[in-house]
Amino acid sequence: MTSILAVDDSPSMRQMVAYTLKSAGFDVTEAEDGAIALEKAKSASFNLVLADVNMPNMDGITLVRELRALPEYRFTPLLILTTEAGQDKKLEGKQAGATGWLVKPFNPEQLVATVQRVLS
Amino acid sequence: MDAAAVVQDNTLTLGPNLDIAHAGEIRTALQQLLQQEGALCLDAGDVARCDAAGLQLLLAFTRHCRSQGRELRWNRASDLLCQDVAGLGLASELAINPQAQGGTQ
Repeated sequence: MTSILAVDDSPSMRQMVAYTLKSAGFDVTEAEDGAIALEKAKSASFNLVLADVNMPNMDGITLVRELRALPEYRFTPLLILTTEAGQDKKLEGKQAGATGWLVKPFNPEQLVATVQRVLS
Repeated sequence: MDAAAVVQDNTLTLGPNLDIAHAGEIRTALQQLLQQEGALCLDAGDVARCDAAGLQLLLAFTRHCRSQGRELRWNRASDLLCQDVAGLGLASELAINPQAQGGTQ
């Protein structure tokens, strides 16, 4: 089963993402910030990482940069979640090594379609 | 505020936790609020943590008020709540407007 690491400090957003992806047949692990996500990514292997940008301890851009420095995540799809107000983060995320982004709010169908597209 | 929610007159003031652990208490308070006459008010300025269950509760309450023709206003909504609601695309449905923003978080 395809495993996804969903990273967001907002419980409601994390739950929505996890519920949607689990319903679509993915195995989802949750992390509440970048630092926790990095530890989980080092101890297990994920096929895709989906991370919010603004989080305590370690933000999503730094997480992407740290993951890209790990040989096992060099080619793994890494998606970042931004808001309309934080669209300037797209370029920063791209430069850090993100595969793409999703702008919040997004509907469940958009989330699943984007995940399936970058995994294909 | 220790309680998950307090009703005074026509206003329900939410505590810091709008989540599944406090959903039962908040639901009871929302039902109590519905017993009041006239326009109803929600004060969510102190909400510092919310999850999907808490937001679903607010969504259900908002829809119920709308279906019953009850007027519902927001006194305050914390930045955290506004961000979560906006991120999930529920701002319009919950009718949280920028003027309602303000609070401790």
